[in-house]
Amino acid sequence: MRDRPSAADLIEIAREVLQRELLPRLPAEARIHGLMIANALANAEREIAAGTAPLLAELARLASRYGEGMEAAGGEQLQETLARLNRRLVADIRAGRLDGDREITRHLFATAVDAVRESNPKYLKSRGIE
Amino acid sequence: MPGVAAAHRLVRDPALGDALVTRLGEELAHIHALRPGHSALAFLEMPQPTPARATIQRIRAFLDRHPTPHPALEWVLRWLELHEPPCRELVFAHRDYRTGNYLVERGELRAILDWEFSGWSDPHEDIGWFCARCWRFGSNEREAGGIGSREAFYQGYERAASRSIERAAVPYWEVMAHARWASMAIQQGARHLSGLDRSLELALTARIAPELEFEALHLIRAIEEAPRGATWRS
Repeated sequence: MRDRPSAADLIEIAREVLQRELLPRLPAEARIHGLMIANALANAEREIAAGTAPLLAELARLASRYGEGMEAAGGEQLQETLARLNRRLVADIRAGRLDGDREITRHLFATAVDAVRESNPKYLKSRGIE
Repeated sequence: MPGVAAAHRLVRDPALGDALVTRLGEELAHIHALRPGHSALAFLEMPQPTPARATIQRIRAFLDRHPTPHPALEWVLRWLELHEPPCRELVFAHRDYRTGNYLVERGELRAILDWEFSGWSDPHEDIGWFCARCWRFGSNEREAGGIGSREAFYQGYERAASRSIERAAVPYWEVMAHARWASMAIQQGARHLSGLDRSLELALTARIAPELEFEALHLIRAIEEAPRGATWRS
């Protein structure tokens, strides 16, 4: 196993130093870059913290819809399997085969909420979702 | 040209409000006074078969070339395909008319910027784009561009325009605004990843796409759950 500090620990402390030590000293014209770097690091931290849990949840919903077993999706194949099932979902959506299907809208909402939790959790709060 | 365009500064300026959005409504009506047949604009393509369908097709064509599937955005596009309001007329539209793309100096509108997306469209496309939540820069209560009230913007527009705003069509075009901006955000991320235009700003813009998809789903649910004839708020 890898010892800590982990990648996540390093990114976190790097962002803290950036915000505490560097941002206040940056000239005005460079401040936007400092803020963007802090934002990028915070995004990466949240994605690492979430791990594969949201992807596995998405996969579980897709696999049950399309009658597939979860075993098809272990380890490195996770992204590939998700892409394949999502391409099938996209084809069904475009063809109108899922019009008015409430289970699909629930699935898409759940997937979107998980993604925004990583990209911009404040946005969810502004929409009343914790 | 003097003035401020930066959206984050404008939405936080307490001196700005309904007067500015009334003026922006009026200015948009003047832009929309140009109609097909104008000889100087004969080079502009006509959207086929309708402005909404042309945009849906363009986004789908982009998604077909993109390596990862986007089911939420596809679901929104399918909804847009099924719920298109009738396009009553084509006008010259700016197609990126929003806070951030105009110059303000001492509370006065000085210039409209960034015309590269302009072309023939339904006038409601610009109205929905201007009012869409994704262009309020966090100033969500002020529905017209994060600056003023929706009614002040509509009033300025209708006072100067030869048409009234179809209130029922605007929410549709706000969903479209989120779909189009989501596809642009994904595209900007792809530009960064391609290596042709490496940029932190482009990479971060791609990370806005999930909240745009979420907001489009949220808007559609609000539209579908709103009682018939109810005043709709986004």
